[in-house]
Amino acid sequence: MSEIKTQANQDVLVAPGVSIVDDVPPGENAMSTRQETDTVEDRKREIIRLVAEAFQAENDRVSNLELVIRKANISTAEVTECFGSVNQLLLQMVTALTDSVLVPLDDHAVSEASLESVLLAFGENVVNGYRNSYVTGIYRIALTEATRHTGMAQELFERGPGRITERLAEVLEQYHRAGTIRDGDMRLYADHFLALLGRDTLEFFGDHSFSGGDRRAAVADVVADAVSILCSGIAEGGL
Amino acid sequence: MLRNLIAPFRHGKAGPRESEDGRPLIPGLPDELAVEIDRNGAPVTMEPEEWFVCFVPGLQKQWWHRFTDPRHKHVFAMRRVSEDQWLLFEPWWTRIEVTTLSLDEAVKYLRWGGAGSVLRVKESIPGSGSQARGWANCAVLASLLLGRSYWTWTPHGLYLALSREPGVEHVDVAMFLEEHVADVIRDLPLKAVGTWERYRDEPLQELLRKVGVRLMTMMTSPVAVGVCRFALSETFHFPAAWEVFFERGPNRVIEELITIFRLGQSRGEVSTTRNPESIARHFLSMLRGNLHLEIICGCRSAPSEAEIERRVSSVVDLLMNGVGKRYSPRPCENSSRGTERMEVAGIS
Repeated sequence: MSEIKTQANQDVLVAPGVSIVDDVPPGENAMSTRQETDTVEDRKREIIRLVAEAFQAENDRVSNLELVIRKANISTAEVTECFGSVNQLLLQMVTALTDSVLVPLDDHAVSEASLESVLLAFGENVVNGYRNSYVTGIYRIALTEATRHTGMAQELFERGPGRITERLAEVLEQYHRAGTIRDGDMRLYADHFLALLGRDTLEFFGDHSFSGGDRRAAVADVVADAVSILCSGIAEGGL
Repeated sequence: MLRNLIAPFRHGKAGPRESEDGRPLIPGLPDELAVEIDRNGAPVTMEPEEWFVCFVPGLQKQWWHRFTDPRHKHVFAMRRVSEDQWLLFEPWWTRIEVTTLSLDEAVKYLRWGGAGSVLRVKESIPGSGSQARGWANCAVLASLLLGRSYWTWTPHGLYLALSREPGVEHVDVAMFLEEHVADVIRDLPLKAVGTWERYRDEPLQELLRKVGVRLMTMMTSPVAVGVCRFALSETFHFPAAWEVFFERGPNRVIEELITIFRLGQSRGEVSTTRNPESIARHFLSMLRGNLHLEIICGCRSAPSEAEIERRVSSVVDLLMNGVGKRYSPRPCENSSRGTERMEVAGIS
């Protein structure tokens, strides 16, 4: 059985190897361009880290990204220079978080890993990633953006929960083809599993069960419970 | 002097609208329209409504702000028109915004009002205001909306004048929202799950389907979506309203669901090793899922009846039996629609 990759360090918001800048165009000055790009990428990572910290320092009590950026002691001009716009920064934060949440679903062979082991590793990443308090802030901003009708909320959904659901559905489909999962709508199954992890909106905002005590054990329990229900259900004498 | 000049032109003060010679009373207007009017000259008689008149600091700097009261630089008014809709009247420099707002949108304006002062004022019909007041700024237009004849051109002046009226109340926005949310949400959970007892003799899966469909229909209704958006986006501004929402909404539903799952355990349909509260929360979470998130983020509209049935079937089947290959869903014996619903769910 192959080892399932997890994003162990929860403070890292951008998965290793995940680029947050466009590819470098080929040319004679490729080396220097690469160095400049690395610098830009480092700065982008740094900005994302600082903004995430500012979100956490505010304990999610913000629904405006400009305010968070100001609290992170970063100028809006620099954010615009690095990311194109303030909204792009938010979208890249969500993309980076999604990338790190999806790491356990990367490059594994269905024949080498059981469905349960994949879901356990993935579930832990989801719970840890989405329990990160700055995600609540992002959701609040998405709700504010929904009243602006800018299309931003849609994009945040697609890059975050939408993409995670799609990717999980693809993996479930592989197990379905391998005969592990019965027929059905894999996208719905993926949606249900993510809800079982307590990642739906109300639980998300109202739940503080991971705020104290043995957080790691609590996360493991939640994930194990979700995997157990997904695989076997709750019926008496279940499978 | 000016009042005396314009008085004859006010509604009700002009001559009677009667046709005595059989000719049209008003050129171009059918007589019945001219005759079928109420004592105020309106085709339909309206009862005076209560408005929330909000005197607020400016959101953006304006040159005239230096001449106005720090907390009352602008005035707008709003009133509730239904469970989930409010009417906004806001004079801008360039237009008058008159629009309906959902509850969560209305709360954003009320929060702005809370930064200044909010008065609950009953409008006067036909009123004693006048269109001939000169500079139609926000204070003048709000005064006209309420049918008042105050000679003031500043929001603060209008605030002082209205405050002196008997019957005008100061509104504590946080307290009002707490009561408002409780009022809006009061019957929602009961409508959705309060009637489950009538299905208690049915197999648990069928019982859950029926409750699930009602719950999803309720959760995706405009009222529930509005109150949910408000609760989520304004949690930290109005924590008491958030508590009320959670206690009387989701937690009330959870209580009923716990009873249902306990019943399932007592009948041997649910494993007794499972915690009923945990299962209840899972059930509710799965019903909401991405669909609910998309709706409250404004990414999509409410689902159709068929989509709700399909989702609920999928949730119930997964919750009860998982997605393991060895499971083959059984149609509910007591339900003629069981097989059909399984097919709708796409589960073989």
